Amino acid sequence: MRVILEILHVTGYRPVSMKIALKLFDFFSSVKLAVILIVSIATLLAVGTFYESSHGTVMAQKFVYHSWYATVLMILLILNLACAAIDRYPWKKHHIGFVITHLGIIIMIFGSIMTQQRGIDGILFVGINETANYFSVDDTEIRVYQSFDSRPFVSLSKTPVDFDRRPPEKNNYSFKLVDDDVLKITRYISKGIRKVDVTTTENPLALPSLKFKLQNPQVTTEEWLGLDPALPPFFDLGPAVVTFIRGELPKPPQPKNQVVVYQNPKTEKLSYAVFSSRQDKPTSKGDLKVGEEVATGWMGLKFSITQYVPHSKINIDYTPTDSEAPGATSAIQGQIGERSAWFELDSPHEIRGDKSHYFLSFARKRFELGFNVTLNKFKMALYGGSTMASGYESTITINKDPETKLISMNEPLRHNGFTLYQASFEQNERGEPIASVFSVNYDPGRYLKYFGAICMVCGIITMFYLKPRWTRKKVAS
Amino acid sequence: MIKLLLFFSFAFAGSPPTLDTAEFSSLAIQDGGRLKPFDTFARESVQLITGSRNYQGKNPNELVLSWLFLPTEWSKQKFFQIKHIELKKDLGVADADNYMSPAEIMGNQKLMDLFKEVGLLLKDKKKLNPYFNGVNKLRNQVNVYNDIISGSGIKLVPQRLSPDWLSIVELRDEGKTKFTAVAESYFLTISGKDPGSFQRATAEFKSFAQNQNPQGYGKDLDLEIKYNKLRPFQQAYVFYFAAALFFLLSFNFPKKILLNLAFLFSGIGWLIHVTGFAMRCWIAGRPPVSNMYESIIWVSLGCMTFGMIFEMIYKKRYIGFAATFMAALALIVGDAAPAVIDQSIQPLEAVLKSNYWLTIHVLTITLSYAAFTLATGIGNVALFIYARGQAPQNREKLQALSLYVYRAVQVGVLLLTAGTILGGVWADASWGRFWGWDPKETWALIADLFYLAVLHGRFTGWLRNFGTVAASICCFTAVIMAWYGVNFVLGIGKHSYGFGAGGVHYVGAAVLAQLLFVAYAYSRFRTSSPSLPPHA
Repeated sequence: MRVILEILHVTGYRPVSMKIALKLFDFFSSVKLAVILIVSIATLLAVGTFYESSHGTVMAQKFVYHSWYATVLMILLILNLACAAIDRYPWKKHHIGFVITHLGIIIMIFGSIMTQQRGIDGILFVGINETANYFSVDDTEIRVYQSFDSRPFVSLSKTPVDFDRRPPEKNNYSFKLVDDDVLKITRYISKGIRKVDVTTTENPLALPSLKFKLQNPQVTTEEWLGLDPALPPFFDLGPAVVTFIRGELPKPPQPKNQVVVYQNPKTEKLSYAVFSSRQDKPTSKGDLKVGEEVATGWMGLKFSITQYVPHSKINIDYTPTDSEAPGATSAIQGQIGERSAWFELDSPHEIRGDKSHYFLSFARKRFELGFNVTLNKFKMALYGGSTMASGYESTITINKDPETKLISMNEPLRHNGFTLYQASFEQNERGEPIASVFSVNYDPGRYLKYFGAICMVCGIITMFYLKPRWTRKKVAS
Repeated sequence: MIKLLLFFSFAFAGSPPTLDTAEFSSLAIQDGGRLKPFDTFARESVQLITGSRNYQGKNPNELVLSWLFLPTEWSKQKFFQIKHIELKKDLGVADADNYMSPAEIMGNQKLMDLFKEVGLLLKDKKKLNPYFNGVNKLRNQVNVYNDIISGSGIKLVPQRLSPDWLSIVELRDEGKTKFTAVAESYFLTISGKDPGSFQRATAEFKSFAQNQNPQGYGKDLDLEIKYNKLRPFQQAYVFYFAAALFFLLSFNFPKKILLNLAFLFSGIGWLIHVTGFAMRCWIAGRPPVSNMYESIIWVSLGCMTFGMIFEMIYKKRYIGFAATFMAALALIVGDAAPAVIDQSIQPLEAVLKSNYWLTIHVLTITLSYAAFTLATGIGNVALFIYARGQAPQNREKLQALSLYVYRAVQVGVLLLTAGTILGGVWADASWGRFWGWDPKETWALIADLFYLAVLHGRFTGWLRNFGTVAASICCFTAVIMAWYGVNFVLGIGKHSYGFGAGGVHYVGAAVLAQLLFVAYAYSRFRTSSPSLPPHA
């Protein structure tokens, strides 16, 4: 660059635009800018870690690490690095370390941008003896279907959403549905704990709700069930299911540990039946009063109804909370005309409109893997005589391939451009593993980052330790 | 067997113990996911329960055996350490009392309720506040003690088919007879009736246990007993401290002998340090990378080693002083709070296991901390000169010191950059993410960036000698944050309570004191060289 300047000086050709350009160039190639940028980036990251510890990794990424100001700082840094390297052109031997280091950093940043733009980082969840062929990522989307018999039927729309960055309270989210029906998203809770409030109403058409309790010395579960769509009609604890229905006692489709509470539509009285997974007929049945305890016969669990509201008005709300609190989830409130309902992340359900019924899903985006993964076995090894895990191991089959593959901690599996890593596992109440969780990764920027990293380290060594040696030799000669 | 023990314990209550525990302490025991000599088990249990290394000057092996065989003797003695003041108040323990007896604990209904409560909190994976941390600690103490006196935690006999060892209560037939003989001989020995019998019975029991599964009985555990006895890192810091003192003396009394003594002590300390480090690697079967204590050992060793290399190149005793002083300081801190900085050797978490990149990554990063520690040490020597207002007379000396700081920072930046990248390589190999904004890796990067700013700042002329020294020292705060803070401040910081249990106040105070010292040195420096801009 100095060369250009000298030529210009000799020729006397000095247009104003060139002067400004040179000034700008000087600014961008200065070490002072470098110091300011480095300190700013470091400070931003430091703030980010504190933000992360209170708001969680995803939020910190959205609002600090991948925010627009972080991007601006990165662009300025790249400009600074590039200009500083160009400024020293033509490079001499003592510039080698400097140039390689700065080039390495630029390459690394480009590698990261590639990962961020085109890479995929998702979660694959496979139950034992089950097969999965898709994985989900942290990005969310809303899908609306016209529903038939409480199931999605015709897909109406599919929209990627980021409510953290663009909250519905400040932005308009409306989806045109059948005829004049319009779905609006009115509220969003990033992390919250569900709070159900059920009150009695005079409306004779209002549907019944009840709160049940299942308890043994180890666990206590208390949940609301209801026939109104705002509440779930059944609750699955894993080893047992509690169902609330209206009418006659049905025969369960398959034997299962189950408590069925059924309401006589005329008298509005409650009855119960306990089913066991071993036989078709109920093991016990009878009338049920509020507060009465019924022994289920499974794991010493006792069942009771703590509250029963024959005509209920249901108000659901979410208390915003810490990201780490157990039971915390993301939720949105959807509204069609007068009716509104809450939708938790990854648990879609029906909502009624004036013209039709709909099915709304607020869920993590899913991607096809392109192949099937079947989990044959999951093993957790322990250190002898302790409960401390020494390793996790999943045995899987790909596409019914006769050959099984092993994925264990630190031993991922590469297939079809994806890499599958053993990330964690799910267990039931008894602590037995029921599913394996893999992290699915596709990273086109990987080798660029590695190459940049090697350049950077080699450059630093050259700068700090080889260059002084060269200059010393020069001085000596 | 319990009945038998009770009988004996009544029969021999109060007899003076004259017991040789050497044989018993060499028995292998399965505990905490690892095979260790009984010696280690006894030391760790005594440390946990009584809060001190040698409770009432008793050998931990003797003490644990006495708990095991004479539990009634101990039921009224106060030896469970309890520290939390509010908890003491709630349990009706006097403020001045720091210990409770087993009888007091078992009879305290309030405490039993608290134990239940903390159990539920832990089951829900909730973070504990300091009060419940105190409860939980007491609960662990009680559990360990109960496992000792019931014998269920003393797993001395391997099995052929299962990796789980049998505890002394699970023994049948021959094993039971053999251990009962050990118990009998214990009483015969302490009553003075047959002083050698304990050793003999124990040796017989040992060979029985060994024969159950000779491979499973594991490698020679003598080294670990030696390591426990030697306490190499405690010895090393004594030598380092002595060396630092001699360096200090040699500043004022320029006698060759003082300097030679300083070098001699540094050398001996370093050799013991290296030996201890090698022993620990051998015992654990892996490089020490897993916890705070191990990183402190490694960082202080690195600091000493870098100091020695710098000393060889520049031949300036300030470097020697800074290195020995900082290494001693680090080791003393590591040794001062065993309740916070756990010294025991533990098996690795699954994710950290058998991973080549992880080992290299952690050792590289922590080695960079060593270089920064040395830089901070040398920097403080320079600050001291500034703080005494002697900058104008010592311009050359300060120029040199700031150069050493700069060089140490260079070493650190190179290692930290390489280490952070290696961390990325490991994370990539391990869970497919080169960079995941994990607070630990982010703070390593932050520290790296701040030191980079110092290196560039000197280049722009913004930082001269004082600036380089002061800025490098301030940057060490970021290292403390990456090294200690992420685990002890941020980790807990998710909930605003929970501070204090991990020495946050002490570390915070130390950092603050350091920063105040920088400020004071700056003001003295400005007044002592009023005509000068902040350089020279």
